[in-house]
Amino acid sequence: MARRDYDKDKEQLKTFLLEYCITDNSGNKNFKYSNQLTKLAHREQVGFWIELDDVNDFDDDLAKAIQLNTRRYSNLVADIVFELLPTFVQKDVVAKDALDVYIEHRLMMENRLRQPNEQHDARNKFPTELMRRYEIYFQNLTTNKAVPIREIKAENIGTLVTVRGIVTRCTEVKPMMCVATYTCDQCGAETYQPINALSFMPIDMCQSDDCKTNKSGGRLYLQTRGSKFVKFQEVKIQEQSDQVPVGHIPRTLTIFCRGEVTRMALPGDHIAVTGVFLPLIKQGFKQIMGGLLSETYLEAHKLVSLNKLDLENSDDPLTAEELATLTGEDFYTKLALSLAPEIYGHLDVKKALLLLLVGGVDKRPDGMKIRGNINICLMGDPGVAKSQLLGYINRLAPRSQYTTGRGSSGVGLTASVMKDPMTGEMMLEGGALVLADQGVCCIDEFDKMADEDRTAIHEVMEQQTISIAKAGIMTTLNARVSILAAANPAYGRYNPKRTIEQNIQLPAALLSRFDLLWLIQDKANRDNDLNLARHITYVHQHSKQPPTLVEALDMKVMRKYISMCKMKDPAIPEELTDFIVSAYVELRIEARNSKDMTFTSARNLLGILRLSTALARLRLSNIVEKDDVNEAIRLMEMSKDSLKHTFENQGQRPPNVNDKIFAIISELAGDNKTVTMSAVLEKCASKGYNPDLVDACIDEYEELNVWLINQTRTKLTFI
Amino acid sequence: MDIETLTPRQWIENEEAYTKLLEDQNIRDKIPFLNVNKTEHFKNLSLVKFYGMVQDMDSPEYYLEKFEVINKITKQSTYVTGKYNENITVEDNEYVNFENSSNITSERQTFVVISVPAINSWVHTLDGKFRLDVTKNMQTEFSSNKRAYEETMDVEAGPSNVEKKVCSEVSKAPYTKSTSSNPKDIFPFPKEGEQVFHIKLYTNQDKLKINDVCEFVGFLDTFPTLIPEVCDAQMDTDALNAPASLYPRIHCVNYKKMKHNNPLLEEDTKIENIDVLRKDLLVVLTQLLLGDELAAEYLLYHLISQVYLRRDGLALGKFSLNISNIPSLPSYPIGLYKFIEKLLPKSIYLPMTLENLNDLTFVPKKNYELNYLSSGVLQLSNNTHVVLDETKLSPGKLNEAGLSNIKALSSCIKHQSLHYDFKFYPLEFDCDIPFLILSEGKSMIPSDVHVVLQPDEMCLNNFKEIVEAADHFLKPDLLNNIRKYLTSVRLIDYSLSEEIETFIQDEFVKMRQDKNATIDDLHGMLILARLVSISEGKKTLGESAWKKASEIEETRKIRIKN
Repeated sequence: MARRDYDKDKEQLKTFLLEYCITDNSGNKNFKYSNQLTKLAHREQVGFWIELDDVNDFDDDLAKAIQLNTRRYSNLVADIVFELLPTFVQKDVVAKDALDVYIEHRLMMENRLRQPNEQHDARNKFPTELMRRYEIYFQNLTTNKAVPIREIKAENIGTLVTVRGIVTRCTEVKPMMCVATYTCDQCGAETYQPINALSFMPIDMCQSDDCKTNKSGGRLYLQTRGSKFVKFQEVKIQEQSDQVPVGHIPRTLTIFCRGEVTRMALPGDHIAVTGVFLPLIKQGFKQIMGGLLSETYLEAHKLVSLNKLDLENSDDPLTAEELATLTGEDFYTKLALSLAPEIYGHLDVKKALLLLLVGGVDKRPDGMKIRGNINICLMGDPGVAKSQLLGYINRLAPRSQYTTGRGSSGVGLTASVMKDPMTGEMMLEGGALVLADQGVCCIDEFDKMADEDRTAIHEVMEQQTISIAKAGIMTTLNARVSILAAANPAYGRYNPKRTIEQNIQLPAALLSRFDLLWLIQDKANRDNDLNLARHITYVHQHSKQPPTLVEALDMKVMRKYISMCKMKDPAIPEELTDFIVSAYVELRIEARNSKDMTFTSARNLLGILRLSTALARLRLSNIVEKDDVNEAIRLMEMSKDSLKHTFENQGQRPPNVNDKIFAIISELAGDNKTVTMSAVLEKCASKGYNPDLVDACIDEYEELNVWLINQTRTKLTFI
Repeated sequence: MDIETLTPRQWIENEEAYTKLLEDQNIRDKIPFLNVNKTEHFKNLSLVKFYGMVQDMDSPEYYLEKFEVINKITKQSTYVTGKYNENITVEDNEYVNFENSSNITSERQTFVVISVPAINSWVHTLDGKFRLDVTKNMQTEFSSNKRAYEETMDVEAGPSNVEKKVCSEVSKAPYTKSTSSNPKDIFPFPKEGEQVFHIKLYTNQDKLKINDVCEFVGFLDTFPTLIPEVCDAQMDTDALNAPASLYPRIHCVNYKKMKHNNPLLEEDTKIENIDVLRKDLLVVLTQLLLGDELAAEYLLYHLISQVYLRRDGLALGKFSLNISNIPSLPSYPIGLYKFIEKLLPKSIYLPMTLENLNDLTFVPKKNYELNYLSSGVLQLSNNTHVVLDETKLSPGKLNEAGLSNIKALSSCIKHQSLHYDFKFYPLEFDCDIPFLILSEGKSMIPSDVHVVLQPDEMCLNNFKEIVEAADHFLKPDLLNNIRKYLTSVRLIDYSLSEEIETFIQDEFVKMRQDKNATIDDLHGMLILARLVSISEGKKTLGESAWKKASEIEETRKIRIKN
């Protein structure tokens, strides 16, 4: 590789700094770097930040070169800025600290001593490091994502890299000498020693011309005030838990922060650092020991503390292929099946949980707040994998808290007021519900919840806030959570002869706040059991899930897809309102007629709206469609069915699907002899039967001569 | 070429051929075995073999694989390699040219490898055959070597007084055995002769995981090194004080993962008379379990269990056993353990006293001050059996550490995974540790299988005699065969045939209808049926094994109900 022409690069960079500008909306040109230079010249700014994105715009080859050999270019830029700065001074600069005054005095001294006509730049005699009152930092290209520490290898030495990690240790900020200034006790001359390494050997003999010619042997003394120091901090970071491969120990990286980059992080912070990966230069003897081993460190150029939201969003978006697999045929079922793939069956429950993860749309008409979060309660006999489902959702959701109703700590579910032992001040400490704000709160053993938490949860589930009035603190905390609860029946097993309140021993007010209540029962059923057994023996035999099932999606892909869905804000079109209203009215009528154990209230209507918006989100659509509403109603029906299911089995013969569909159709027909197929299909879809089933039913009853269907299959006539 | 006297230089020159040579077990056997020999008896940079468990790993370090050394006087340049060797001797009149563009910087990683924890003493005695004859010859060689080090050190120390002082201090320190200031950190149960090596790996670093048991072949480096001083900041002064760098290092040229730690079992050993061995073992176990045949059967299955499948947080094959109703004979659990110890290569006995629960650390914890992973009781390699003696537990108060220890135990039994404490976040590591819990009532910690012991009055009174008789019965030959049997059946490659699958499916449907069995029951049955089959040396599941498994499960459940 040919040696780069650094002189040319220097010229190029100079033009870049002087001429690079961004034109803003109003057409004004903003000379980004010239402005910064002016500030530097007036000592209003210390750091000089250059964005590689800008350099890339200007000259992509140069940007690449900078990235590969950052240190060299940062010296180059420092030189350029040094040359340019005097031209940017527009007004007198007020000295900011002792070093400024010191430099000023020295410059004046020099000028006085020289002949007036001698052309000489006074600053030349001093080392440039001493005179520079600015620091050069590069910012990496935005296209370069933060990489784990593990990815940084020997070939990265000298290049600009961005890494992510968690701070494990950091030292205090200390002054680090960067130019040592000495004075001679004999001749009074000053000697400067620039320091680049972590340690240095002080000079003790005066090197000035005076002392040398006189052989006076002047001793040098270090002048603290005249020396230049920079802030220095050493930070150690460690890989984040998701970056560590299975069975490995997280790796660490040392970061040296200087000047403006110091004091940016504390132990425990998640940070992204951009810096130059460098070997530590050691001297002499130590090098040979240890087989010429070199320690490495990252010289920080930029250090950003990441908050939790940044962390969640830092993943790359889904690639086109991944998206293609997700939006394929029947992606809804596929996504649902990918939830807790180790748990067999329960497709509808999984669908509901998927919607819970995606969530509906929040509405705020005129200050009133209607929550979009979906609350689900799973009930069921012990040992039906309720807890596993909760655990899986907890792992999958980017923000979630898992707790049991009995809540171990004093903070519990809501929040508590604590007294700080040091200052005696009162502090609020959030409980699980507060911590899970904008996420999912999984509460196991919901029925065993403490009474005070139970009252608080009423407010959380509808208003999505927690009000606290404890120990003189009155406040309202946000708790925009979806609640996923699991409850055990009060008497060991779910007793179908009792109502839900009796079974779960929770007040109706609380239960009605759940959009979906699901009873998972463990009943012997030959077909199901056989499938189950096949599933398990297959797992034992082949060490993997049976291939017949849809292949489960990776958790990461799911997470990305869900966060994508959450970006959408679907609205319900005008023409659907009538349909939803009539569906709701029907639900109410039905509830009144068939001595329902659950409650059908206005909350159900909101629930349907929430579920349908969530479904639209899942399709990545901005408009709710009729199918979404139908599916929402179907899920709600199914959840009610799961509760009612128990009665039907008490009868002689459980009505099969065809019987049920027939009942629906005949009810629809009423006194009329004919019904249109579109009405039939729609009605059945809202009850949870897909067109295939309906067709099968129609065919079967046609054979029995119950009704006739016309050639085009649009009309049904009873005989 | 004699493999014992190979030098790193020779190895590098002919890397491929030597690696191939190592595949030959006979040649591998010739390499001196470090586990049973003291490092003092080896020449620096001689080829050695060591087996141990990866306890911790460091971040990679960069070294110069090839660099130029220039003679100051003659200006002659030579290329030197830093691979497999840390101490490059550069003469006074030479210097290293760092600017040379053909210098190669490479990466290597240090692994802290310790003697396999919880290994039982019989394994050591058997390893003894690899012990070197510490002849006088070697002794003198060693001492002359030692002198040589000191001389070279003086030369290298160079003109700087400060450095010389540091150097001589270090050389005084005993740099052989584990001299860590707190050895307990790495070994929760310190035993005689435990060794620690820092293994430097040049290739395949990613394949090695924590708690892997491997046999490493490499060049032993006992020359003391200073930890390179990172900076003047106080951060690492503590690390400087720790003599971690004094652990001898092995520059690994080749390693292989071990499936088991049983020195009796060679690659292709065939076990004969499996049925007889199985019967003999059952006889002994029945006697030890006070005449309870059912419990003996379960104990046998427990001894040969291992996790054979891991998916979606499910660890199939774990078979942690809780034997309750243990007689309140204080010497009984220990007596039982003594026998288990004789049979298994790796096991520990852990009395669950309040003090142990409160004071011991079960979970490894990262020490950020000194930058190492301090070990916990539960940092064990796969297939290390843990016997928990709950009969020793007395009422009292558990402190916070005790609670988290109990939690760790439960998670270890339930999921066969352990969350190591990295302070800022826990990190999950899979493990495979079968637990045997001895308790009076049902144990407070979960288990996969719970058996209620039905002791025979007669046996209970004569426990001492039984132990003696069992000792007598287990003649060395028989004992060795049983040891071989236990390890080899565990490794059997087992599968389910199509027919038996359908059979099981039907059985399950029946079980569901009769007893409302759950999914977990089916998993349990499949695991038990597997253990029954392999204990008989069978590679596939037969109907008889399934029937047997169902029968014993039946009896076991009836016992629990009563």
